[in-house]
Amino acid sequence: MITQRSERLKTATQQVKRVTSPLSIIVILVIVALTLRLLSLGERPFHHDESLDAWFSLRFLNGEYNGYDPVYHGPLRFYLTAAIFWVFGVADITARLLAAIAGFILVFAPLLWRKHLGIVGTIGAMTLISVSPTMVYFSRFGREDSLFLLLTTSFVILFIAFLVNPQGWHPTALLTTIVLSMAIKESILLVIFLFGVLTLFLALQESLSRIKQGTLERFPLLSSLLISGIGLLSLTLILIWVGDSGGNETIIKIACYCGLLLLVIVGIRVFSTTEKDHQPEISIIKSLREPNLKQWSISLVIASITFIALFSQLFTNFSGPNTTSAPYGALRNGLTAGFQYWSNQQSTGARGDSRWHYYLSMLIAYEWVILFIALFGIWKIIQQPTLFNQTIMWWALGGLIVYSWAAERMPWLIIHILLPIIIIAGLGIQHIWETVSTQKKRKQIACSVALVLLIFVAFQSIKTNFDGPGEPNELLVQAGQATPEVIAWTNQIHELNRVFYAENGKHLSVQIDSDIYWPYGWYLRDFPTSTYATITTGNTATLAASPDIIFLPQWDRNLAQNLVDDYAIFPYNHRWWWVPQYDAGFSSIADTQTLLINWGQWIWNRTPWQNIQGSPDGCPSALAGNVYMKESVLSMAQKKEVWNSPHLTPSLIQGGSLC
Amino acid sequence: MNLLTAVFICSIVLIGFTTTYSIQSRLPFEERLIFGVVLGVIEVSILGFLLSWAFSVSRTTIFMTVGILLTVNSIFALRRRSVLIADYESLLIRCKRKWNDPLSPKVPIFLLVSSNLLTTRIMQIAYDGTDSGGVAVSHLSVYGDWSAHLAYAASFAYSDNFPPELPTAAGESFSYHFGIDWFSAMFVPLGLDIFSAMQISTVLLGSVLPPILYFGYKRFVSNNRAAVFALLIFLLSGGTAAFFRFLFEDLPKEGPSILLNLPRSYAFDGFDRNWVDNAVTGFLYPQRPTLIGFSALVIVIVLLWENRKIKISSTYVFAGILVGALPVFHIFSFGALLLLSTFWALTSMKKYWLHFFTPALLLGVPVLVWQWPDRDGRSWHQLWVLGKSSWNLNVIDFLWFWLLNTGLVIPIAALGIVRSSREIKRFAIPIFAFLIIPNIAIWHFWIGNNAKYVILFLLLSAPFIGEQVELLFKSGGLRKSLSVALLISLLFTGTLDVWRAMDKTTGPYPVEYLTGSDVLVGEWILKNTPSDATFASANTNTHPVRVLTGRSVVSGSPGRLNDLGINWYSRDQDLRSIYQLQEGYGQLLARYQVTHVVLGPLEKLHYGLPPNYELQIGEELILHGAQLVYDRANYQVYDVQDMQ
Repeated sequence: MITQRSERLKTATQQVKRVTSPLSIIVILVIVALTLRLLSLGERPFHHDESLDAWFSLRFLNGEYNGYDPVYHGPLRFYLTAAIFWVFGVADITARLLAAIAGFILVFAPLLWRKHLGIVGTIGAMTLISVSPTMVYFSRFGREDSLFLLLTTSFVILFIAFLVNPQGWHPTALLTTIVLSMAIKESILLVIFLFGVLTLFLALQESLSRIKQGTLERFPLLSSLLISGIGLLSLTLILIWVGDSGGNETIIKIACYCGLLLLVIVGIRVFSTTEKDHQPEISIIKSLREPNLKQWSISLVIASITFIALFSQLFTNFSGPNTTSAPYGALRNGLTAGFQYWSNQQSTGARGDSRWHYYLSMLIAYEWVILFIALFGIWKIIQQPTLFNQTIMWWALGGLIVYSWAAERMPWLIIHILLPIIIIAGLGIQHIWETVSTQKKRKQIACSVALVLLIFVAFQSIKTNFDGPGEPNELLVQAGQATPEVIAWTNQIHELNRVFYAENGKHLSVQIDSDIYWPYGWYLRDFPTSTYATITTGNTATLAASPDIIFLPQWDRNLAQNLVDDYAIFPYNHRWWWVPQYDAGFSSIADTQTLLINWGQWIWNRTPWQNIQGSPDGCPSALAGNVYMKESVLSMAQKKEVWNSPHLTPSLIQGGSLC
Repeated sequence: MNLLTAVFICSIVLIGFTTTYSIQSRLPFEERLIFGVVLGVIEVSILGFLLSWAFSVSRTTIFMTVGILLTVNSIFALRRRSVLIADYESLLIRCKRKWNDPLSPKVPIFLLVSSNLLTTRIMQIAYDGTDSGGVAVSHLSVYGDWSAHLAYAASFAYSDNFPPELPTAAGESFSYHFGIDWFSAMFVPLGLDIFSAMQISTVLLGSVLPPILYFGYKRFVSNNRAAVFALLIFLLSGGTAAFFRFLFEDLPKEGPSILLNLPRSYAFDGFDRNWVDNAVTGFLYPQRPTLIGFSALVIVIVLLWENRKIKISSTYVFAGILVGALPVFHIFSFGALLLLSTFWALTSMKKYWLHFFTPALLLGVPVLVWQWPDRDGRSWHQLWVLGKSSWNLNVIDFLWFWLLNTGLVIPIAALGIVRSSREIKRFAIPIFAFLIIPNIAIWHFWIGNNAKYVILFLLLSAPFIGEQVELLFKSGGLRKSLSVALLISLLFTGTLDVWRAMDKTTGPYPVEYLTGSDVLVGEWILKNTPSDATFASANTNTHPVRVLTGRSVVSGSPGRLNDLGINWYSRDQDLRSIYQLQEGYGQLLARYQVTHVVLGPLEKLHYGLPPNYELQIGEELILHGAQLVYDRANYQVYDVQDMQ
């Protein structure tokens, strides 16, 4: 009897273990990550940039792409999205599929670092990547950032592997990853700078550890703070010094900084005496020497071929688009135009949010749970400054510094900072687990807290991504985000045109002013006649031709005064956004309660706040305009029962203000 | 694809997967999962059909279907959960094995992914929009056969076709294996339009066919590579026509760029010299029942093969039930499996075969009888098309015909079977029946349908051909080169045809299938006429009433009706009489219980109606009590229910 009971107990325990085994949890994570990334993927109206990316991909598929222009970033994702279009068809969902796939693959990055993170830390990090509101949002956002982050992560994986256990194929993989990243986004320059400086600091660390009777190991605090403290501080200072100068000045200042570091490294090497049997944890020189000349040559050849293939539209077009930002041939554009464009942007001042603490504020708003857990990870890194730990720390904090310094501050760049922070959080989770797992009660408390936090993060993620996605009360929504009215009008135009054509044998004439043309360029891609119009004070020929439907932004309303008699006029909201003051205009201690209530209400149900003082009031606002529709067309639409009142799209009934 | 559709598909896989645990067959996890797709489709289709018949086609009945099957099947899975867990753990361990390891699941996973991508590509270009708001199509299979399939699927989805009647011939019983079209119709209440429903059901079943074939072939060959060869030999079949037509005619004329715009099908030339089309472009996609039939045929063979030594009766019963369900889905597979199993049973003369035959016949024969056409379509002949078309009845044409249509398939298959083990030989010999049948009889109204037997022969003989190619390949040296040449000879034509199917702009395609006006009238009919309405409309290949609404019509396309044993000629003449307002047209309307008469461009063109005819017919019909209920964009619809 007792044997039977113990057998049953054993079996039950085994079954529980199977369910909670890492593999089973990973399978569950796969389902969760896929669901969060693919569910209703096409539902949110397209952001301006998403529509351009999709449109360029379609152009490439149709053989009409002119080549790399840094204004629209690298061509690789156009090629990949075009391939997705070819297989799965051209649709809103497939336009975002590349980002979703890249975001899904990213979930598995911690698996490759499981030896460093520990199994609990790995699963913790994977879980956070799967459900983080920001990671999910930008895995569902049809820009290049999700794919670029995947390549950056691959680069970091290879970078660490190359330093820890260098292999002959590592240079090929590293260089090819850099080239692929170049073909996606100019941010690769920041990555190269960041990891270039890290390499110098690692070399410095290696040099210091060689000083006889003064090894770095004898000063544990210096050892742990050289990179994560001194290194990051110097990085911050140097970037403050560089400022927003741009161009050659930036290059000279950064070169001075790197040169100085190099000088220190060489100096220590030359003037220090080395212990004979000293074996540092890593050796940059040794790693560089590991692949032989042939392997280095092959890596250069493969990287070069990849570069040529990517920037010449797979060897088919070696001439560039011949625009101001890409004036050279395809290959030269690939090499230099990106940097020039970025450099010019840097010197022309901030794009996006102008506040230096933008990313920090956004991370606190959306990912405070992860930041909180990451604090434990930082503690562990200070205690155990291994190469992996220091690299991840550098990636996270260095990334925060570099991206906060760069002139362009956009919500989609947050993920480049967030991912390494999640890895640090993974280290923190493992650290906590190791601390509490010895005592059952502590373990239970830790598990309960973890569960509550996970539910909270998941709730936030679902709210951000599925409860009115793309609405401006979300801070992740950027000014280019189209309103649902754009989709409503698109559907209306298509349906109306079908009836109009059947009745009259000709298509509707729809003219959309260039200022508000995107994302219609994508949505109306199959519309049989051109819908693009440039309507200005000096160019009203389009209006004179009296098209059936006209879209004008608010600043051009006066141009349509002559249309009033023959046209029905509908108010229209094209894009929307919210740029709040994060401190809500906080000026004295008495405002604390209001500040906390504002933030609390926003976290709980995404209610936007009005600033305590100052102008603008901080409410979400929209780029408005008018839609002019010929009375005859409107009456036909109503008569034929195809009028869907797109101007009354439910989410906009509240009017211009959401406060 | 919306969320409900995704959930429905996942449920189907889960239902089928758990079903495999109702029998004690030693199938690995990945086979259960892939077989589960087809088994799930069959189960969901049958129960869904019965429930929809009892209630209606709705989201609720589909949820009920899925709920019932998931509940029942989860009991099987729970009862054998230890086996399920062991299967899962075995899969994880086997995932680490190399590609060429017979137990590695990597090859079938690769096949599943690649076939899914190719099928998705072919299907996503099937339909497209046109500038006028109409519909364009990109392949012959979609333009041709799918017109009928659309009507069948739409009749269930939109016209509550219970008890099932042939929607393309008002009043006739549904003498067609409509299971796959009913399955497609089940996606419509979940939020898909009828076109997407057709596409997605095809992608689901088309994607799993290659791995299922691979699982089946692997049991009759020596290694993974031979199974992959066999798979390619079947899927890329097509004879040898491309060697002349492509290499000596089209390529020299157009240059290499022709590969991006292949002008014609190479395996099939419209029933002149080439009668046996490629398996994918000629049979799998256009003839939709094969989507379930081919897979089910292989699954049953696998079950019987695995059971040949352990002889568990429940497996025989399960296989028998599966075969018994097949007449609804693919009658040729039902016949093929009965033929094969009869041979196997007769050569073993064991009682356990009764466990198989009893459910197979009890379930299958009544459906077969119900589907049996009124008109007798059988006739006898010799050597199939020899002496007909442009083929002469002599030895040279005999050899040339088979070489052109099937390449070296037949001699290599025969060689492979002769060289196989005694056990396999016994299993394989009856497949030659599928070569004999088309040469002695027409069982299905039209001589072209005999190619369906040849394709079954190809399906079943492919592993023996693949094994012979593999034997040559691994011998090395000159033999290896010979095997490569042999493979090229077997795959070249089919590869070109499959490649062509992936090209959206090849030959005359895309062509306008429905105009914007067609779509508008179809949408109006769907919204404004009762689901049991019967329409008089042109019996052209495509017509919005049939393909968009599934409403019953007096006559669909004559060729397709002839295939089903319907007297298409009299219906054609009756329609002519109605539209030309000949004497007695009123009785004809009454005979077919026509409720609506459509007058559109297709009617005017097809029945040679004069200009301003709409005024004439309008006056006549309205005079007798009809009502003009739709008049827009070249279409008029008359409600003739109250006509006297």
